[in-house]
Order: sequence, then structure tokens, then C-alpha cells
Amino acid sequence: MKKLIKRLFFPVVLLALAGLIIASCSKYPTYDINTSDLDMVWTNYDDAMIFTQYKTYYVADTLLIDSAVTPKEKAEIQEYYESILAEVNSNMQALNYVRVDSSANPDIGMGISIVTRTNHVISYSYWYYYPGYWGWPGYGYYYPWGTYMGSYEEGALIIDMVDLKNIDHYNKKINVMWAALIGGVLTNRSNSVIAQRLIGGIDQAYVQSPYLGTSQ
Amino acid sequence: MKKYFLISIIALCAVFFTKTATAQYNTHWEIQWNISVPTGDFENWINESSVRGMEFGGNYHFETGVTLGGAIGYAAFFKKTGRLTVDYDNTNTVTAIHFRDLYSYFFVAEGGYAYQTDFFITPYARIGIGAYYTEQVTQIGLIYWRDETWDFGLRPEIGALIEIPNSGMGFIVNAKYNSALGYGNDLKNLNYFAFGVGIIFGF
Repeated sequence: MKKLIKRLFFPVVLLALAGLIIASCSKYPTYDINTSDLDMVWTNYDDAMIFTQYKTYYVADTLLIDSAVTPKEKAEIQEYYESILAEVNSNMQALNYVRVDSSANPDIGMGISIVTRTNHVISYSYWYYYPGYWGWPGYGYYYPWGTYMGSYEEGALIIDMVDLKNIDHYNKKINVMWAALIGGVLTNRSNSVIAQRLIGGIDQAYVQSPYLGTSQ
Repeated sequence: MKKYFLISIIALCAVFFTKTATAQYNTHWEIQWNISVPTGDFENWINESSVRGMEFGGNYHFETGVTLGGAIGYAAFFKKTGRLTVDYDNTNTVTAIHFRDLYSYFFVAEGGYAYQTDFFITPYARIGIGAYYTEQVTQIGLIYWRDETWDFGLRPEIGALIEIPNSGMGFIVNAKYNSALGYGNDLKNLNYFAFGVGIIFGF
């Protein structure tokens, strides 16, 4: 019995250790990545700006959508642009900024635009191929084995705040006071989900910009 | 392909390096599974232990008890943070989840001392000196960057060889401290403990 246990013990331990070592060889991370995990909010501002000296702002009622978007996508985006606009206005008004018409000589001009891009992913495991110059008639190149092709769409909502009080007419320049980019993957095309993520991103852009606001 | 290669290595070691003679051996080979724990500034970046670690090595035992040998191996560390807000360059602020990966590969020559007795447990202490190759990967949102670096490193180690009598095989347990000296990038240093358990083959 002792001999039997001894004969079984080493192979079992060896197999267990081999399993642990093989499992250790994986280079894949131990964490999961969900689509919304890739959402990012980036803001930048001109630190020479005194935001409290600005009071009124103008923002267009329509969003700028890049020409790469198809008509179908444009229609989908139109469905939730109003909630984006409402959220931007809500945050601006919470900071005591007042929205005015473009003819009322606003201090700040705001632009809201959406950019989308399709990224293609190609990865393959190369087995081997027969080069044509070996002179094997009838043989061509062997296509990569285990080829994977896929794509994903990423999008970005960009909010720009420009200084209309101090336009450089001589050099024809309008300074950007503040810019925000809310970006992520658009794999889930449910408009309500995307709108929810965008609204959360807009709010975060203002939360991480405590220098915004007016005391007037 | 890689896993079949590893199974072959382990099987070959078991077949060729097993003997049925007595406890005294000149050379032993070892395969270990390591659990690694970051320390210092590395722990501030990834504060989670790693169970993805392995090493393969061999040591020659002189009659005086001195041992000489070497080891190669690696450890992999992963961390997914919560949503962090970080200021860069004063005016740039980014809020996103950070995905942090670090792969540490080591190639060390080892020298030490094993206190050999007639007892089946042989305690030892040794120090490894060699090279550390590190891949550090950071992803914030959809932005990804990767740094690679080679550094000189030290690895002190204490442990015990536990021989199975009359089998030519045994176990090894140890604790070691890996230190890649002069490591830069985002970390001031790259240090981590590793606790290993494995099998030894002597002949």
C-alpha cells in the first residue's frame, strides 16, 4: 500500500506542478475589460484664462457630425443629441453662465462635435507557406492559418469653449479656453446606453474642471 | 505549441534525472512555481500579488557545501484600477480606468551555500546576480503604451531542499527578493518578493 501511494504521489504532484507552470505561462491579463471600461474623459484648458470674467455663452442647436458618418448613423445620433445639448447647458448654467443668442455678443462660443472611426484588427498565426520561386508547379502561397479579422468603432464627443471677448482679428485667431473629449468604443449601439455614457462623461468633464465658473 | 514544449521538458527531466541512489547529489535541477508580491514603489503601481510565475534552474553542489548554478524565469503582474482622475502637465486632466501589466523576466547566475547533513532536508542560502528584462504596459481608455528595459539585478534567496529518500527527486521551497536595480520608467524601483515551491531532480 505504501509503495502504491509512493508510486502515485510523485506523478500526481508532478502533474499538479506542471499544470500550475503551464497556467503561469499565459500572457493574458487576469482582469476583464468591458466596453464601458474603455471610456475616457480628457480636458485641457488655458491656464492664463480667468474664467470668472466671462458671463454669457452661445452654443448652436445642432451638433457638428463628421462627414464619415453614414446617413443612417447620422439619424441615430440625432436621436440623442438633444440630451447631450441639454446636459451641456445644464452644466454651464450650474456654473452661472448664461446662454444667449449669437447676435447678443456672447463672451464664450461653444462647439459640440462628434467624431467616429472604425478600426480594423487583423491578427494571424503563421504556420508556413510554399514560396513560389521553389518552382513547385500548382503551389501558391499558403494563406495564414487561424487568421482573425475584426473591427470596432470608436467615437469621441468634443466640446470646445472659445474666447469671443478677445478675438485676434489681426492674425485671425480665436483662442480656445477649454476643451473636453469624451471618448470610447461604440460597440453597443443602443442609443440609450451610449447617451447614458455620454451624459456621464459630460458631467465628469465639468467635475474635473473646477476652474470653470463665473462669479458675475 | 509552448505548452507541449513545457510538458516535454518536465517529462524529460523526470525520466533522465531521476536516480535511486542515496541523498548526496552533485547537481540538481529545479522547476518552480512562484507567487510574487510587489514591494515599494512597484506596490504603489500594482498592489496585487501574482500567481503567474515560474522558473527553471540548476545548481552544482561542491563537497564544501558551496553551490553554483543559475536560473531563468518570469513573473507577470496585472492590475485594473477603478476610474481615476489624474492631472498631467497642470492643464491636462484625464479620467479613465487604468490597465496595468508588468512582465518581469530574469536570467541570473547563482552562488550560495547548502548545509548538507544526513537529514533529508537541506537548508540553503544563495544570491543570484544577472539581468532583468521588464515589459511595462499601461492602457488608459483606448490609449496604450509599452516600455521595455534591461536592468542589472540581484536576487537573494533562502530555502530548503526536501529530498524523497532513494528516489533522486525531491521538493524545493524558498523565498527570494527580486530587485532590478536602476529601473526607471514610471517607477522609482522594481522590487518584489517571490515564494516558490517546486520539484528538484538530482543525479
